[in-house]
Amino acid sequence: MKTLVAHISGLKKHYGKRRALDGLDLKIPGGAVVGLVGENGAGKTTTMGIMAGLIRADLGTVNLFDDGPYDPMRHKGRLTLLPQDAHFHPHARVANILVSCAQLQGLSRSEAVTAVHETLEWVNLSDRADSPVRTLSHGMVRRLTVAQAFLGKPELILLDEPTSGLDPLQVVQVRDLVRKRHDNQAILVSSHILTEIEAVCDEVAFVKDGRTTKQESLTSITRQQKLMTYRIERGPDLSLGKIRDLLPDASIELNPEGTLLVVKVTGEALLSPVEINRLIIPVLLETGCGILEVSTGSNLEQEYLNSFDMPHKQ
Amino acid sequence: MKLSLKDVFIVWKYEWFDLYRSRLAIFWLSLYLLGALSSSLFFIMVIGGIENKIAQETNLSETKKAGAMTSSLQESRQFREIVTQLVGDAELARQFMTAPLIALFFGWMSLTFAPFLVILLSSESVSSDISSGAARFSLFRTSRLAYVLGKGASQATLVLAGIVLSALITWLVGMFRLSSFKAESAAWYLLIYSLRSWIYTLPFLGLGLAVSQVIKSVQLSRAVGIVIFFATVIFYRIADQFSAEGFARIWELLIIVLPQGHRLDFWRPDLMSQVSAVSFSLGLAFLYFMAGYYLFSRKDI
Repeated sequence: MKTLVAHISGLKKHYGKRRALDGLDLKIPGGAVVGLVGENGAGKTTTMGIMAGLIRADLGTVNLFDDGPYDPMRHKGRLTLLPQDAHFHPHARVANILVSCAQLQGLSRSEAVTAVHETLEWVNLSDRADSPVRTLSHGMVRRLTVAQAFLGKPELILLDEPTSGLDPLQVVQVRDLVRKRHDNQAILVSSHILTEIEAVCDEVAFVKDGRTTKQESLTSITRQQKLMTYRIERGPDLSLGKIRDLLPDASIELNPEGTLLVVKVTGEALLSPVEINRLIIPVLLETGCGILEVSTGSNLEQEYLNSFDMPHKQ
Repeated sequence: MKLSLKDVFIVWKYEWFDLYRSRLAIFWLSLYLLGALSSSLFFIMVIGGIENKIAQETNLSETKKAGAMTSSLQESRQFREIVTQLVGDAELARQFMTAPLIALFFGWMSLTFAPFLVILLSSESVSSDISSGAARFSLFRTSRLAYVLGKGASQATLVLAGIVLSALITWLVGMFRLSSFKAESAAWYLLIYSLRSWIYTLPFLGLGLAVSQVIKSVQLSRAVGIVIFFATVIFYRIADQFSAEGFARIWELLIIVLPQGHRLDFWRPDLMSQVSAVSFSLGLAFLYFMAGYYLFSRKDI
């Protein structure tokens, strides 16, 4: 079992009368990419702010690196943050900002210059090193803010809405940057865009009204081993009874149009998706069905909506 | 409370360069420069007028350049009155009869106007970073104390640069526009008054930084800074007016904790007065700054 770089329990925070966190729990294993998913005001930004020492919790414990709550002097350089809606000074120059950040993280001047050079190459901003921030496009500024979070060798990186306000192409760019850069560092990513979380995360935590409702691995949440969906053209002799006989521990459902066959494996005796296919596909073919698509598991969006009993379309 | 002086230096350096990149430093230095230039030229014009008046009264010929009659002038009643008004103490005024006129005027100008400029500049220094979110890129990397000290140090450096630049401009104006100008003596006095003025502005810097650590909105922070500045002026006047023997001595407590209460000591030439003025000014700067920091250290950013 991997050691935890962050263990948060019972975190509570009020802003005046408004309750932002109401006993939030979170575990971040070393080297894992954990997604923090929740609607606006669910407490994602407050959680990251508390973890980074920018916000004071009312109650609860934050244990980082098995060494208590975050202290910028004691844990120098071990945690970084991409804050949401934060702006650099418009007149500051790209390289100067990053060198200062790196030096404040404890790197020497020469180490900082080297780290900044590498990081700017990574985010494709090398040619803008001497440019003032005000001359950069929105996407470039976002890449710069992502870059500052990856300076040095932090063990835990907090990314608060890293693709917020970006166009689709820029979203893909930033997502790829995070995926490529991930080098045994633990990353906590918050985002509204669930496909983005699904693309980069190993674990997902659902947050609602300041509480964690679920934290599991992505494969577990999306039931990769327990759910099979067949998109079919219904054949004349299709009989669900025959399939149910083959899979007594599964729930078999066909939508009213007869185009989607959903197999949910319940019980302890798990069959792998390959084994389920071996049983079901021959029956479908025998009964004259056309198989258009076979997919495993659900997707994060559906599971997120399911977890809060919200309606969704298939 | 942990403090890394290296981090203070990094923040100071970044802030200092940022003040230049944003043209803010150039704006403030230009303000000091123009203020020094116009006020010293105006002062020389006034001095010239007084000299000519004395010349007329004593049946001497008028001079084109001011300063030629400095020695006569310094013994004149009008001049004594001006100096007495400047330093606010007749005894003290007598001690200044030997100091170069232009240096005296510079000292009065910088002690009077520099604190207001300092409040204007410093009262938004931290609040602008909090409101833009720029502080959130730094405050997980270093302690809040190192961060605000670095910012305060860069402001103090800018103020020092502004005052020294003003002194230089004043010296140059004296050099070219005053006859009988004692360059070395004037340079020495201008330097001394520059340093004293700078130290005198530090409590105001502490006040401005305190306000900017507490208030997030830049506009509100600046407005509160200005209000507090004028409040200190008014409270000092009131306390000075009502301070007397007996129970009324309680007003002296207020005088002690206000920067203006130590202004006169900066004019006095004796060592004890200077030590007192410097100690109280540094102490008040620290006190005001730390009052703001106490709240800032508990603030959600």
